[in-house]
Amino acid sequence: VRRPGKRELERALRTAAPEPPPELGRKLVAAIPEDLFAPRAEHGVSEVGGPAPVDAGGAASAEAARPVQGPSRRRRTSGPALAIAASLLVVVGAGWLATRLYQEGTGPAGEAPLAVRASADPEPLLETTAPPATSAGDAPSPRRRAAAEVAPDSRPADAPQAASAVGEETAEAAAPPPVTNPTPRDAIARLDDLAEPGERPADGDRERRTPGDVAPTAPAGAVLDAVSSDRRAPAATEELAAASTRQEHRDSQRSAEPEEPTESEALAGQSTGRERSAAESIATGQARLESEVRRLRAASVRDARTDPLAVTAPRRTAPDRADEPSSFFDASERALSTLTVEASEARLLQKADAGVSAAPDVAPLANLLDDVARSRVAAAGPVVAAETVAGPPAAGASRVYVFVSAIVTERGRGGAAGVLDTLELELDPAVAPRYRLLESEARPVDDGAPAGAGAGSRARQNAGAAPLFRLSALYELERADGAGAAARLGVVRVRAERPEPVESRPAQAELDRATTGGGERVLDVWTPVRAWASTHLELRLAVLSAQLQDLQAGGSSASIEAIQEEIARVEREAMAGSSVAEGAARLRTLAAAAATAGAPAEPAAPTAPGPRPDG
Amino acid sequence: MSSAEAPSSAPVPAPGRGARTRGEAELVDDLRRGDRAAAGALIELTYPMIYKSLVRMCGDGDTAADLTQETYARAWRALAQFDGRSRFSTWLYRIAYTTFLNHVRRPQRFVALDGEAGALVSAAETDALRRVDALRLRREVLALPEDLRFAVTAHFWGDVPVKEIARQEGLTSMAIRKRLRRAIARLRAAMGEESS
Repeated sequence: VRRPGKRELERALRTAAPEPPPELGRKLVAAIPEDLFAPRAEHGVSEVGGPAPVDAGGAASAEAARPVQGPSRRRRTSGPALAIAASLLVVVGAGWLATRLYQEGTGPAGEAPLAVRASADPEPLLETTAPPATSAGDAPSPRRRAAAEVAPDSRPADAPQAASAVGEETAEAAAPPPVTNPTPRDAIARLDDLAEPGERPADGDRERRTPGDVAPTAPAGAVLDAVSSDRRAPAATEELAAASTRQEHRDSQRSAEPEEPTESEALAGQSTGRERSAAESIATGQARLESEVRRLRAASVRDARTDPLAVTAPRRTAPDRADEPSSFFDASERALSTLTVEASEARLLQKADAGVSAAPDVAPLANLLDDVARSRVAAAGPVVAAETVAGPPAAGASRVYVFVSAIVTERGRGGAAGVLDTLELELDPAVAPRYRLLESEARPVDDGAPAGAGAGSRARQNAGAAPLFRLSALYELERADGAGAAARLGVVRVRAERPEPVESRPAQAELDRATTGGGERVLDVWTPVRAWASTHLELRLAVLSAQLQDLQAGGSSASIEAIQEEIARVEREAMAGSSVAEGAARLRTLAAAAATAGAPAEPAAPTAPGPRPDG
Repeated sequence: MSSAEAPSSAPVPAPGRGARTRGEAELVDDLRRGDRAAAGALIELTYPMIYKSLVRMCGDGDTAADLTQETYARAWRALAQFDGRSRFSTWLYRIAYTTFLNHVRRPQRFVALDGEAGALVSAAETDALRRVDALRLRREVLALPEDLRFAVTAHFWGDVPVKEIARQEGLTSMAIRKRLRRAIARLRAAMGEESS
């Protein structure tokens, strides 16, 4: 073992780095903010504001010329801190006083203790079956209409009207249910009643889906296409509505039956403090209930999505993708967006029918992922990655783009045809109610990669291992108005159910074990921290490419002028001679051609490259 | 135009002219007095060092350029917090270092689920880091404990003098030298093990 000498190591550490590109300095200077000297409240410098606020007489004050951080800064921050501390004390004191008053039953308005008031409340709290809010102008689907018609039957005041709305079957639901003070425990018990036996979640695992949620026998993406709100067949629509009605009817029947008092109810009244804490957590239970109802409704959609539909649904192939591009799908109804790609085909699905075959694609974004795969080839299971950015300003603040990608190994080498790698983006409908798939592809990991970590496709083949493939997809989401800036959008899942390798040479077996662990990997996806303007150029270019492609296919995600403007911006910011600059130039040409054509252009003849020689 | 408007509307000089005629401390003083042109001159003075250190950290020229821009954007936002304890370039290097760490740790970036931050190894190696040894060395440096890593990257990659690192960290120069020695010893051991 030879350790490098100290001087040798220091010399290696001081290896010369490349000079910065000359245009970088100009960009940095151009990016000096106009309000460089403006007060910045977020840094607590509103009085000082950094360098030199100049007074009306034109002389920079000596006060402003001294270092900013110093005694004055401490003095500056002490005022707000004291105010916040005082406010907290007032709030805590008021809360304590209110608690004491409620415990003694002598509230300021002379109200009775909470348990009594709750029992007199004519409106039960567990009837929230309304669908999640959708964007303005989004017409309710038949399924939602059905839910809205059935939902009132659990309310005593509306019971006759509800019965007439849903017909004879729900007549018995007109009987007013016993009014209870539902606790979270009741809500959970009720949820278990709502769920079918096969769907009843185990304790502690209530929010998780099982890997079998999506039928693995057919391409799940095609299945979901069949039930999308825009392309749904009439038969599927009717079946979904019927399934929804049946589910809600079961719900109403159960709510009409007298419920046995639960343990919580039996204990009600014994301790007002316990009742109060239970009531305070009703909001939590209700939110959980809503979440479960959504889950059950999604499950009912899957129930209605019978195998015949799945079998007859078209596969996500190149000709099929041409007519699906610009419609948004409802995340609450479909619950899952699934991209299923047969990795062994290794076809560039998107380029084959995009009509923008010369445009850049999502591949540059995944270069880092290639490297991740190279460095993590010995890790178990597939590698998943996701990146989220806010949309371009022209597209509106509610647009979010999610790029997801996964590295998997080739499937089917041992004749296991029909086994699929699946990449899923599972959205939270409350945060991202609608979405659409902009681009997707499956391609082999670059075989020109250094084999130091053991991984380009060719290197892996030489080592007797299956090559790696990358599945990538770019989604456009509509974020809900009320969604927080750092809300969780959902999760990315990659399913990798792999057969045992047919051959089992030692090297191959080791690598196959390492990379074909099977099961699934899950990665949370969050709303963006990065704004569009600070997003790296490759992703901006990919989004613009997808928007132009959408426009050419008849969509209206952005105007051609806005796209051209953004392309020009990317081209200005890109380093001269870089791949981004070249891609932006190609895209600019295509956008100009589209603008000249005016009307949606015919898709160009596919010129996509085929699979790589080793793929 | 009143003299009060003059500083904010003064044109920013193009890089490459006039910057080296003034020292860094002088430029910072000018900046504090509201001389907007001093910001441009400071950029010209410091951005090669920031860019080079970021290239060494992330190994990718394009990413380093992006991070350089992000570094300066953050610096201008936090300008009021620069207290003059260390040199402006040292303070800027600390921002660049934090920006890089945020870049590789950001949950929205490519994240290997397998634990180790595979994203630390970037895609496109530059000419200087094309050799496998250099790649390994960079990986080992980035795998050092935080205190050692900052000292090594600042001193060797950012060309920040030991004295300046000590000021920035609030330590003595001797403490920084000890950290450098410990880091070099660790790197030697790690490189020796990998060689074996």
